[in-house]
Amino acid sequence: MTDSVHGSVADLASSVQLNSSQNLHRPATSTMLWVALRFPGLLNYRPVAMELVSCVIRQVERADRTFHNEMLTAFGEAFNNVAIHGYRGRPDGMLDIEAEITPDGLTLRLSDTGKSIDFRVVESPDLDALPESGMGVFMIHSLVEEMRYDAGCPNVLTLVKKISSGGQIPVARVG
Amino acid sequence: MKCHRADRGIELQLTIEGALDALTVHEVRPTFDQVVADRPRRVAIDLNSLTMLDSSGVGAIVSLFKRVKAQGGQVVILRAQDQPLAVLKLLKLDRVFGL
Repeated sequence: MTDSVHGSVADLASSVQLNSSQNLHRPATSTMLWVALRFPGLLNYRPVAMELVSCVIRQVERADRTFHNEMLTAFGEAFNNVAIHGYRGRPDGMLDIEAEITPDGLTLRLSDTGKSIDFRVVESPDLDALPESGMGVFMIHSLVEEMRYDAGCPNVLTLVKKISSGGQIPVARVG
Repeated sequence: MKCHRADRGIELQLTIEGALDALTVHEVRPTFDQVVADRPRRVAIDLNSLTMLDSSGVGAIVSLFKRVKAQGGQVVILRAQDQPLAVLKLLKLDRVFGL
């Protein structure tokens, strides 16, 4: 259903650029694999972005299904934030993704030039009240060990997930 | 993403397949709205074939839950697994939906 509206994933993938030569961030010496991807910051590209990031996550040694799902879920929410809020009304916006696999786990850096998000004013949702929105940042916080957001041009969101945490859902650290 | 509806006596069953996320959630909203308009006594949402669920998809399901409950009905989720189940548990919805 989605493909008929937005074009096939294969079509979308052809628009994705692999930035192997454009080093946006100098990898640490312990880096085992470094991958860079560039997508238009539009929701249409969410399926192919998720698929490719899923492939990267599966390259993490000792990563189990829980690690994969939690990191992919966090990435998906981060992608949504950029596409829905950061680039609202800006179809030309691009999203750069760097993935750095180390012996400890995986770091994802998402860079965009859209509207910055002030995470300081994002409050933890009252889950008992059954919210229908405002859960994305809470989910990201809950699913990764470290989340940093450097507002600017570009905005850089860094997500760090360590392999030892697989199988556990840490307590949310929103605030 | 696909969403099928089947009426089974007093129970109405929705089966959602694929990814229910920010990109696809608008596709289920008309079906959910019609379900609410039909005032079912019980809605069972089968997520056995749901492969990906994000906060937008959760929001749509919670909205359905609230509206059906406000009419005196019940909403349960069946056979959620893997990533969708983990998301529902993270948001403490497993107890709400009888998982």
